[in-house]
Amino acid sequence: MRDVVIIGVGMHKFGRFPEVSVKEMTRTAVWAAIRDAGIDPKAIQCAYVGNCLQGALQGQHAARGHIALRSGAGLSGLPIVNVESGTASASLAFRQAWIAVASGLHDVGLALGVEKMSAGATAQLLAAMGGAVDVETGGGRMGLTFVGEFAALVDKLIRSYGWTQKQMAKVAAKNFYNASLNPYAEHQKAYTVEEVLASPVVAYPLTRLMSCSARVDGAGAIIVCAKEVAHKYTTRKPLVNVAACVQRSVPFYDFSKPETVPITYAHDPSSVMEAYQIAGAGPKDMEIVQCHDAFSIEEMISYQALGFCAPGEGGRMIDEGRTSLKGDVPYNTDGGLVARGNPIGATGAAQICETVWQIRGEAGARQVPGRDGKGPKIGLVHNAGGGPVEDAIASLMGIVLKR
Amino acid sequence: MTTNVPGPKKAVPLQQGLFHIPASPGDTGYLIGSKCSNCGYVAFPRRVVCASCVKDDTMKELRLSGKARLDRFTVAHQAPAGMTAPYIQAYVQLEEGPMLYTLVTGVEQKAEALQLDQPMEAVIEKIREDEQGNDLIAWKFRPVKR
Ligand SMILES: [Zn+2]
Repeated sequence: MRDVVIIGVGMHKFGRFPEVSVKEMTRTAVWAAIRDAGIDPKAIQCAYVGNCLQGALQGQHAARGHIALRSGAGLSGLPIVNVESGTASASLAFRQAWIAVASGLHDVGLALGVEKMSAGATAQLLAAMGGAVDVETGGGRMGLTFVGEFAALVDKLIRSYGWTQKQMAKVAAKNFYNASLNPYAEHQKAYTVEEVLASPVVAYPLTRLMSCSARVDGAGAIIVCAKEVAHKYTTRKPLVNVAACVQRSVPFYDFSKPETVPITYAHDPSSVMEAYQIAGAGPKDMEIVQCHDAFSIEEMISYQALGFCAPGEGGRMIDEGRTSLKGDVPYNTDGGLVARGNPIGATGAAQICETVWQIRGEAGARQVPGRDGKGPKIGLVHNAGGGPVEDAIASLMGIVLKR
Repeated sequence: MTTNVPGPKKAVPLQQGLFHIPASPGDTGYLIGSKCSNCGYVAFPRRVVCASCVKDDTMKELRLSGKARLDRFTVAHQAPAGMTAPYIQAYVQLEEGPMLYTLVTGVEQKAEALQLDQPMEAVIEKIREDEQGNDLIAWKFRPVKR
């Protein structure tokens, strides 16, 4: 396996853009990454395209990546692979590009995540989202919603750990503040804790402002290169190393043996634990984290699931401000899924782009200093995709990037 | 002359093979699961391959007791199509092991109506009207009367 570096990243702003097509968002993100790397686009040797919903919402059931890259970004001839893994589609596309380059088959690979959720009728979107769980036996037709799924878990954790709705509101307010400093974020307004608490309850104890929006568009692109030959393709930017890139699928839990099932099981950390091992670094080393918070409570669960605090200490983590931009382990510096936005198939790309910008010291007003004052040296991405499949989330990514 | 009179309402199961629908007043509905003849693992819905010991064709059909424990729940204040808010979304753990999502019946749809870990029992009945106006049949759980 060869060492792999990220040489370019780019995004199309997240938000609702009914007039902007998948092709146009693809162009914006891919060409931003090409310019960022300063690379000849013809040097890109393979591409992986993450998208989840364009088939269901626009009828583009096949060859989505081929069409978007050829007709949107002008890339032709290279091998292109379409990747679908729910909200982990883009980070899985990134992993596939990393594999292609690490294996030695290609020197330069492109990963794209693009999603257009503003297309199609609401009923179409709801049906498509319902398709992220087992459609034969999933609870969608019985009234189960994603927000309900997590609200029920939150309620149990509140009762078990003494966490409060206000602590969850603090997580949301922190992330809205971060997003207000991020020009690519869906939400550009910083909501207060009081405003988060006062927004309508969707499923108790989760309010509207503790939940990601249902309809967001956006795209993100990442160009990876073999480290040993990177100088041949670009000299433009500091290289960011891919220290680990792990995918796991839904684990097996036997609920008849409750002692074997962690309370955080819906947020399985196994991909991150493996990534820590491969990277030779653990939670004590991470200077920045982008976690999967479709609902604010997931970030509080994440603090303990990924090893940043002892079980039950998530409430204290947020109360003490440890995960804010000025804290010792800044979480979701770009606003996370709730505030930066969650256009399913593009979300993982945004997490990776943000980590790269932070490590390079290019994150502008939301830049965190890191431990040496030069920006974080090492950062973690945890991305999850697909609804609960029997036991837990379908696809889980753990990625460690470092200076 | 043709008229557009809807036909009689049909009872449509959520999915074939998940449960037995009561056929007569004396009959009771039940969930249909499966148990591994090799390791004893119980799965709902019915499976063929055991996900615990990973053996093929060891899962044999098992009539589930419908006895369960309330693991967690929330009151949803926004309803997707076909549902009416507020309504309870809950997870129960069956006596035989599996954890499953369920609607809750027999109580007011509010948080005070339930307690975590309380005993629950399955009923197979109409959960709502489907998109064609038929009765959609599935499981619900209700608190066991003390
Ligand atoms: Zn078995």
